[in-house]
This record gives sequence, C-alpha cells and structure tokens, in this order.
Amino acid sequence: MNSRDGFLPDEVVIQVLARLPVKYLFRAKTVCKLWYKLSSDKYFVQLYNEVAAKNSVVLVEVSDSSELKSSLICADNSWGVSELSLDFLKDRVKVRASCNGLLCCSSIPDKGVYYVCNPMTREFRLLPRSRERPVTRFCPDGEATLVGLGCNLSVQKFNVVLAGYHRTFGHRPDGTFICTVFDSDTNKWRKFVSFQDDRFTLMNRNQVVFVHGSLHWLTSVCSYILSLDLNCDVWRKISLPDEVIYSAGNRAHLLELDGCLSVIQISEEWMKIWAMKDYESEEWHLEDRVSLRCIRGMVPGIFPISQTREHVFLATYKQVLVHQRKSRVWKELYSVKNSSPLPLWFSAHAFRTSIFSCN
Amino acid sequence: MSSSTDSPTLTTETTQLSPQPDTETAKPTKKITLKSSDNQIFEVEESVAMEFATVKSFFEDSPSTDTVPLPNVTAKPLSQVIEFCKEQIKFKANPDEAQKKKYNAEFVTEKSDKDLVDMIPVANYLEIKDLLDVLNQAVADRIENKSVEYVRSFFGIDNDFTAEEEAALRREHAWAYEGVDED
Repeated sequence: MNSRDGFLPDEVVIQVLARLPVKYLFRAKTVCKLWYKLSSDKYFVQLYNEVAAKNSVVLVEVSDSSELKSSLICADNSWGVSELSLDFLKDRVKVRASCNGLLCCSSIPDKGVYYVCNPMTREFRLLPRSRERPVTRFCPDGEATLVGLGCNLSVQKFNVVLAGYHRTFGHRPDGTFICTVFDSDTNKWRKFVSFQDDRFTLMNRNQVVFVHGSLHWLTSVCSYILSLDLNCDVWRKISLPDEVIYSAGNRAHLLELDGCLSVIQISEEWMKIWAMKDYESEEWHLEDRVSLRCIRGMVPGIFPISQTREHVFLATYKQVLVHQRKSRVWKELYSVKNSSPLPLWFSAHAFRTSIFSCN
Repeated sequence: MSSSTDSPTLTTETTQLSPQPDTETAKPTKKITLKSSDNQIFEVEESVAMEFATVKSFFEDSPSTDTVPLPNVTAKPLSQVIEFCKEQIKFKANPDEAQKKKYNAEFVTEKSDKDLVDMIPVANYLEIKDLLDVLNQAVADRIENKSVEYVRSFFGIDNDFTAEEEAALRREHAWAYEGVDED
C-alpha cells in the first residue's frame, strides 16, 4: 500500500473494504495492485464473509401475471430492497436452494440442467449432467423431490444434492430413494440408494438448512428432521422438540440460527424459536417466544424464511415482514403491488452475501 | 378480495422498559488524565477511560499512575473519541438500541471525511471495538458507489496500473462500474 502520508494502516483499510457491497468491492480492484490482490486473499475473503454474515436477507422470486418473466428481490433490514439479476446465466431459471451466498438454480426450459452461481460476483458453474438421469425417473414429474446445496466457506467447496423416489416406467414408486451428490472438487456426481418413506410439503422442500456438514429437511408430518451427512452419505432422523410434536394445530419451519439448526413453531398466538445449540446431544433449547398479537389477522399466512439473533424475516402472500426481537417491533420490508399468481413465500429463500467463488 | 385478510394493518408493539429509579450515585467518580501527543490534557471519568482497552490494560499493569500518555494520538480525534464513549456509557446504563443507532448515525454524519479517517487509527490504537465498527462502516458508506479516481484520492493512493491494465480490468467486471455517483 502506498502510505504517502502515513494515513491509514493496512489493517484499517482491510476493515473498510470488508464492509463494501460486492459491486463496489469489485470496482475497488482497479484502485491499485494491492487492492486487486486483496479481494482474493484468503484472510480477506474470510473476513468479508464473516462481516456479511451478520446481514441476513430474504430473497423472493416475484413473477408477473404472465409467469414468463420473474425477478429476484432482495429484502434486507439495513440496505432495504434491491433487485438481483441472474441474467448472467443466459437461461430462464428457478432458484431451488440457497446456502452461504451461493444459489442452486434449475433451468426451466431444460429439465435436468442445474447451475450453481454467486449472484453477487456473477460467477457461475454449469453442473455436468448426471449420467444416471436417463435411467432414473424421479417421482413425481421426473423432478427431484429434494434439491439441496451445502456450501462450506472455510474449505471453499460445495455439494449439490438431488434426491427423490425412484419410479420404474409404468409403476408406482416403491420406496427406493435415490440420492445423487455433486462434489465441486471432483466436478462429479456420486449416487447412492436407500429405502425410506418420507413426505415433504412444498415449504419443507424449500427450507433446506446446511449446518455441521449435513443438509436438513423437515418432513411433512412435522415429527422429525431428515438429515443427510455429506461426509459419509448417510441419512438419519433428528427429533423435534416434544412441544412441537405434541401441540396440535401448530406449524413448524426449519431455519438456521447462527450456525445452529432452528425450528420456528407457529401457533395462533405465539411464535416460538427453538435452537439446537449442541448438535451432538440433539437437545433443543427455547430461544424466544414472540407474541403474534399485533399481526393476528395474518398468522395463518405467515412463513418464517430467515433469521439472525436480532431479526426474524417472514413472508406472506404479498409482503415480507421483519420482526426485531429486542424491541419486539414488526415492520414491513417489501410488498408486491400488482397481483402475483404465486404467494411470495412460495419461492422465498434465506440469503446472505459472500464472495465465495463457485469456480 | 376482502381487504381484511389481504392487507392487514401492521401495528407495532414495544415492550416498555420498567421505569428506572433515579439512582445517580452521589459518590465522586474517579478522574483519569490522558495526555495526547501534542501535549493536551484530557480529564475523563474512569468509566469512560475503561472503554479504551489500551488504557485499561495500562492501568492493570501500573495501577499507581494517574496520567496516561498517548504518544500516537493527537488532541482533535481524541476529543471526538471521548465524546463518543461518554454517550456509549449512557446507553450501557440504559439500553435503547434505537436511540443508540440514531446517535451513532448522527455522530458520523456530521463529521468531515478527514475527521472520520483521523479517528480510525485512534480507535484502532485504543481498541474501542464499537467505535471502530461504526467508523469503518461510515467510511465504507462514503466511498460506496464512487468512482475509482475518487476512492484513490480519498485514501491518497497512487494508481500503479498502466492504462492498458486498467482498461482490461474495467472490461473484466464491466457491471461493477455501472451507475457511479458523482464525486
């Protein structure tokens, strides 16, 4: 660094740059050679991702009534609402999973074509077609039931998981659960088969959580979480808090809270936030209990999408709301004006910025 | 579509903090003297000085001293840093996130670029984490969406790229140069 007037120590400059939105960070690469190298420096990347992790956002896909064009809206508590473009993919895509700054998208015109991209840095990777595909028929519709993305920031690698019930042509599915896992290091898919009978709602399928090297989905009966350990390719079940299993008329949603598995339980009057602080012991801890009195009329249609220690973000049919846990204040972050064919929660994902490179 | 379910009104609910009894302690607070590099003397309350991790550890090492020399710190940024820490102590005693955010925002908005940049090494040296966060973010906000030339002059950095290299970089990430604010 040229410190002609001795004006700011390098460590301070690094701290300032770590707080710039990605676009301006990329622009700052042209300032000088040192800044250019900095943005790919391992220590800096880690610092940047840590700072950005404090800022959780909700990503919603908003389609206009013709459903031909959709746009991605980023709603965030401090930066407000911005539009995110995936035009750099040069394909019509749907976001299927989001993890640590990366998105897994499937092509709408080309079934079986998947991309992993970082919408902030506009880098993307077209995944090779799995060779299994013509042989495997996922049920229903030939689409994988579960699409998961696990992105490990510290070792800079990611996995994409496609899983679903196998169906032989002309037959009903027989409980054969096929799972294919893409590994970014080898650029290859691996496949394994198990027998199970789990059901998932649409919301369950969207809310996949990656913590402790495993992907997690809530099953539709809301009695357990299904997890896939990506290190050893083993499926297992994790129990939910007793109160969630045994309270009638409650809904549960799976989210992440500061690197922990978290379940949001919604009843008519309360929203309870549970977290699994110690993953090994599988013990649930009640983090918070939020009264839903002030949004009473909306309760049946609210879906928690993402959270931090301070905020819970929820989507309704037409709005994105945020609840500030400390002050107990509810706020509207975003709302769609014209009538959209699909509710916002239908395609809403938790998102955070990172400068993870998917190449 | 019925308006009752379609657009319910949002009401806000704030938990009222239990009213704090006025328990201003009457005992005289201990004062600590700080001496800047340009030999200005600052008398601050002990609680304020303890916000500075550097000063705190200085006292832990040599508790008998009453004047702390700060050889790397000039008077102007030091006085501003003290002003900030005095306010933070009030928020510690009586937490109000909204008020704190508002104060922090006002504190940096009214400062000139030079004041901000001068305070960063001071906050860094005195190890005041909260202030450092606020300042780093404030500087990032000020250079955000500015031209590369503006950022260079802001930080006093010389361009060490050739014209060709710079043009190539701009082509590589052309999207990052769209919509620049006026300097």
